[in-house]
Amino acid sequence: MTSQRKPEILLEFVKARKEFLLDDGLINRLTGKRRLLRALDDVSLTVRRGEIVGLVGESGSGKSTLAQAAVRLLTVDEGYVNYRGENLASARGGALKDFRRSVQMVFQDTGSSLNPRKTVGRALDESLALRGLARARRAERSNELLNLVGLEGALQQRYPHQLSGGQRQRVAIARCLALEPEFLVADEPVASLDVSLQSQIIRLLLNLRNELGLTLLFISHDLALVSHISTRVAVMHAGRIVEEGPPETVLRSPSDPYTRALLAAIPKGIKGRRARRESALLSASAHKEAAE
Amino acid sequence: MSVAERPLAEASRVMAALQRIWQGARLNWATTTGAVIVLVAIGAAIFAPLIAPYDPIEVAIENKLLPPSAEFWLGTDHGGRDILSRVIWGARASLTVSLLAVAIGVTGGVLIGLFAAYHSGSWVEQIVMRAIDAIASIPLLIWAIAIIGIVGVDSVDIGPFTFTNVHKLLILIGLLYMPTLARITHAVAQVEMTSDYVKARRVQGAGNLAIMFGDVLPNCLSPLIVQATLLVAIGIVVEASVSFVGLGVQPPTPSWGSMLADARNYVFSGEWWMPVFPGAAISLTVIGFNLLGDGLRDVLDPRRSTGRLLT
Amino acid sequence: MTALLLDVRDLRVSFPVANGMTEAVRGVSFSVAPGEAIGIVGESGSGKSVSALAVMRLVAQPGRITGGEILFEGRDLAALDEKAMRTVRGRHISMVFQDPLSSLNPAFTIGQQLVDTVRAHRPAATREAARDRAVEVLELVGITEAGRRLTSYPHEFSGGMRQRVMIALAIACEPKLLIADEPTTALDVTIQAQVVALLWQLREKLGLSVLFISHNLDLVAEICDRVYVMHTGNVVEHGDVEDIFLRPQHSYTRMLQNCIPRIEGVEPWSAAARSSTGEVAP
Repeated sequence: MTSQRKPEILLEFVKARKEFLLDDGLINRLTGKRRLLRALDDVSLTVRRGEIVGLVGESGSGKSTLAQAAVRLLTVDEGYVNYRGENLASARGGALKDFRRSVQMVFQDTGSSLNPRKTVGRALDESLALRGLARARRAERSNELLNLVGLEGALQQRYPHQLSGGQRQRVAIARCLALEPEFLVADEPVASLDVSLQSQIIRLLLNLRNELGLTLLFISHDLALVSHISTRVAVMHAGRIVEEGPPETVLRSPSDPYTRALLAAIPKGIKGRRARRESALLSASAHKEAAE
Repeated sequence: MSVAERPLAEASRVMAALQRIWQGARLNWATTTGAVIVLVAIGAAIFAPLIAPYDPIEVAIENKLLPPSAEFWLGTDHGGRDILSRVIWGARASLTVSLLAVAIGVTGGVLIGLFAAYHSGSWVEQIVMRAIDAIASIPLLIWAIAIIGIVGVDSVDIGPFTFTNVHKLLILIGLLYMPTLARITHAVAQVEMTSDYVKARRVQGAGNLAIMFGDVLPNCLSPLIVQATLLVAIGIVVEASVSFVGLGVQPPTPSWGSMLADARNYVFSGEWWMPVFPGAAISLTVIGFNLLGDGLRDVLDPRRSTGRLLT
Repeated sequence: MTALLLDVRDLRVSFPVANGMTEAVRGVSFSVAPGEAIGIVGESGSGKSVSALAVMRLVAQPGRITGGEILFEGRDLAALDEKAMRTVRGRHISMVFQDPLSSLNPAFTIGQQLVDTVRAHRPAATREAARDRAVEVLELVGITEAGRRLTSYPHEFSGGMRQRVMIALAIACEPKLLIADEPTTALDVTIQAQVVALLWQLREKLGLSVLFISHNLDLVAEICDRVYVMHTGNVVEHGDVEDIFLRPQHSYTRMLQNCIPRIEGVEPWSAAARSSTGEVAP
C-alpha cells in the first residue's frame, strides 16, 4: 500500500444508465407497448490520468454506447458521466469546448471515419482550424502530424479510398492529435485490420501515449489484446461491468462466470487441439468401459 | 510543400481531372454525345446575338414561307423570319427557364432536405416531409398552365421588382421541383449523418452548420447533380408546352414552343420546315440532357469509390 | 495410400483490371484426404477465399480460373460445365460463408430453404422425406425444437444460430467435403467456440472432410490436421499443424505467429507500456 497521491481522475462514469427505445411500429407505439433496450445498466468506471484502461465486451455488451457516452456523442439517462469533475450532460459553451479539445476518439471502421470526399490534407486542416491554429501554420503542422503517425506529408493530397486500411487508421489518429488531446477513446481501433497491421497500430498508439502523455480508454472484443496493453482491464456484459482489475488478476483468477466463459472460448491453438483430442479420447474410453 | 508549389499542384490536379474526363468520354460515346449537345445548346443561348444570321423578330413578309435554301438554311416562317435564327434565339428562352428553375429547385430543395435530415426522428421532420409529399403530388405541367392561365401573362410588379411571364414560369417550375430534390437530399443526408466521419467531426467540436454544409452536403451531390440534369430536360418540355398554349414566352420573342404553335396551321400544307426544326431542337436538347444525366450517374456512382469525376 | 478427396494443383485465378489481368491466385496447390481437416491461413488479399470459391467454381465474374487442375475424387472440376458442376455443389462439396445473414435468403423460412436444398439433389424425395431430413439435420447442428423452428425466418435467429442453420444446409445432402470460409469471423468469441466445437463433432460423427479458411492461426490450429499458409496469392508454407505452429520456417508464418496477442506470457511491448505509467498505483 503506497502513500502516493493517486493521479487525477479524468473520466468517470457513476451509475450510468442508458436505454434505447426499440421501434416496434405504429400500433405498438399507440398502444404504449414499447420495448426498451438497456445498453448501460448502472455502469461505474473510473479512468485516471496516465492509465490505459482496456474495456472488453462482445457485441451487444454496451461497449459502443459507453464509448459514445465518454465523448458525449450521447448523454446518459440516469447517473453521471464526468470529465475532470465536470458533468458532461450539463457542460456548455467554454467548458464544452475545452472538453471537445481534451478528449478525442479513434473509430473502428477506417472506411467511414474519414469523409470520402475530403483529402487527408483538408481533414487535418479543418481539425487544426478547430484547434485555433493560424491558417499560415496549418500546412506545416499537418506535415508534422502525419510524420508523427509514421506517414509522409505527401499523403495530404490523397483521398481516403486511395489509402490502405492501415494508412487510413493512422490518418484518423493524426486527426485526433491535431487537437492536442489528453485523453483518447479508441473504439475497436484495429478490429478491421489484418493481424500484422494490428500490432503496428497498437505500437503506434502506445508510443504516442508515452511520448505525448496520453490517457487511453481502449475498447475491444479481444481480451488477449487488451490484457497485453492495459494497466487495468474491465469486462462488460449486457450493459454492466462484471469484472475489473489488473490484467494478470482478470486473466488468472477471474471472479465472474462471464469472464471465465470468455477466457474458455478464446482459441488456444495447439494446446486447444491437444485438449480436444484428450477429451475425445477420454469420452471414447469411457464409452468403451460403459459398454463392457 | 511550399506555398509556391501550391498553384502548380492545383493546376496539375485539374489537368489530371480533365484527362480523366477525356478518357472517360472516349469510352462512353452516349455521355459524350449528350455533353456535346448540351454544350451546343448552351452556346447557342449565350452567343445568339453573335451567331444568328438574321434578326429573329423583324418581320419581312416578302420572304415568308420559304423552304430551306442557301440563303435561309432552315427556311422562313409565316412572318418571313429566318427559322435558324429563331431556333438559336429560342434556346435562350428554353434554357433560361429550365436552368434557372433547376437552380431555384436545387437551392430550396437542398435547404429543406438538409433541414429535415438535421431534425431526423422528430416531428419537425415528419411535418416537413409530408408537406413536401403534398407539393410533390401536384402535376407540374397542369399547374403551370393553370396558374399562369389564372394569373395572366402580364408582367407583375412587386415592390421594386418586375416579374415577367418568364420569371413567373421559372419560379413556379422551380418551386414544383423542390420536392424531388428535397427528398433526395433528405434521404442521403439521413444516411450520411449516421456515418463515423460525422461523429468524428462532432467529437472534434465542429458546429452543426459546418457539418451539414461541409461534410454531409458534398456527399449528397452526386445523386443531386444527376437529378438536376434530368429536371433541366423536363423543364425544357414544360416551357415548350406552356409556350405552345400561349401562356409562356410571349410573341414576338422566339421560343421553340411558340414556334410550334405558329406552325400548327402549316403542318399539313407542305411547309414542313416550320414545325420540324423547333421540334427537333426540343427533342435533341432533351435527349442531350438525359444522356448527360445518365452518364453522370455512372461516373458519380458511389460504388466506384467516390466517383472519379470529383476526386 | 488412400486416394485424395480433393487435389488442387497449380491453381491460378485472375481478375481483369484497368489495363490487363491481375492474378489473385498464383499457382497454388493443396489437398484434402478423406476425413482430414485442412486449414488455409492468410490475411486479406492472400487469395485464400478466392481459392476456395474456385474449388466450387463460384469465382465472381469477370474473374476466371486461368490455370491448374481441381481434382475431386479424380474428376477435374475446372473442366466441368455449369450443369455438371451443379450436381457437385451441395451434394458432394458444400460451403459455409462468413456472413450468415446475407447467405440465407431472408424471404423464405429455413424449413423451405432446407427442403429446397434436399429436393434439389434428390428430386425423387417426397416432401415428407425432405422435411424429415431437414429436422434431422437441424438437430445434428444442435438446434433444439427443430420441428417447430422449420417455420422460422432467418432474421428470427441470432448470429450463431444462423451459422448453425447454414451448416445444416451445407450437410443436408451428405457432402464429403465442407468448405468453411471464415465461418466464425463475424461472430462473438463465445459463439465462435461453439461453432468450432460443432464442426469438430460433425467431423467425428459424419466422417466429413473440412477445408477451413481463416485469418486466425490459433483457431485453425485447434481443429485442423494440416495447414497451408497463403500470402499474396501463393502458398508460402504448409505442413502438419504442429510443425507450422511450433516450428514455423517461413518468415511470414513467423510474423503471423508473433503478431497474435496471447493470454499467456507478457509480450515485450506491453512491458514498455506498463513501465511508463507514472504514479499509477496497481
